[in-house]
Amino acid sequence: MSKQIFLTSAQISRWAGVTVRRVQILMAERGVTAVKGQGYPASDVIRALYLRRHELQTKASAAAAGDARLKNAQADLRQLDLEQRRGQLVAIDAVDNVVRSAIVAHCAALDAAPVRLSTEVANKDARECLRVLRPAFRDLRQGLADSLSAVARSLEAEIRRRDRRGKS
Amino acid sequence: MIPVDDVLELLADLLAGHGRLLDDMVDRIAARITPEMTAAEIEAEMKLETQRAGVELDDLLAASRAELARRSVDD
Repeated sequence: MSKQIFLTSAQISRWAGVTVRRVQILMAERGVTAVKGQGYPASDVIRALYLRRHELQTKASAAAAGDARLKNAQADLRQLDLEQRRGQLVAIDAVDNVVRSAIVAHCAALDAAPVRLSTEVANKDARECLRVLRPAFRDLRQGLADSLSAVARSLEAEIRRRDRRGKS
Repeated sequence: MIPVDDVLELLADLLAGHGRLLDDMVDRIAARITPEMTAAEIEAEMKLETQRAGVELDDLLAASRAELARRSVDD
């Protein structure tokens, strides 16, 4: 019969590279009990340390796999977001051109307003002037609003067309 | 390229800003005009104001363009 070898907490601590306290907790967790005056049975200690190392490695590889899955999911989300945004994007130059056209037409109407309205407000007091001018300039503003609404509708229609093309 | 929602928001802002400018302009014109003024004098006063409104609209448009550029997205 081979002689049983015992190891003290301090010996295991030096060997395994963990604190004495950690050794005691680990042995208690694994159900390894110390024999008074001798220490822990070496065979039980080796089995406990082996199992602990195996568990740590399993945990580390599971964490690494989890990280990889998370990174893949984040990359997929970024790609999805980019694709969605691409479908909702319009060219700045195109927007600029149509808005500019609407503004130019509006400014022409604004410039023509004094000639048209000056005779209408002649010989009138401030209150009567406002009664003439407010609706006149409200109409002008509405003209610009209609033009910009048409711009907005055409942009939305373009997005819907693209969306339909993407789905088909 | 720019998200279409941003364009719509900026167009709405532009229109709202210009609406306020026109309201102020009308108030200024009405405050300056008197019953004694001739049509030509009124026309001159109104021209000054509409030109000013045009310049202010240009400023609004420039600000909108700058905002469009700021919100642009690489495609």
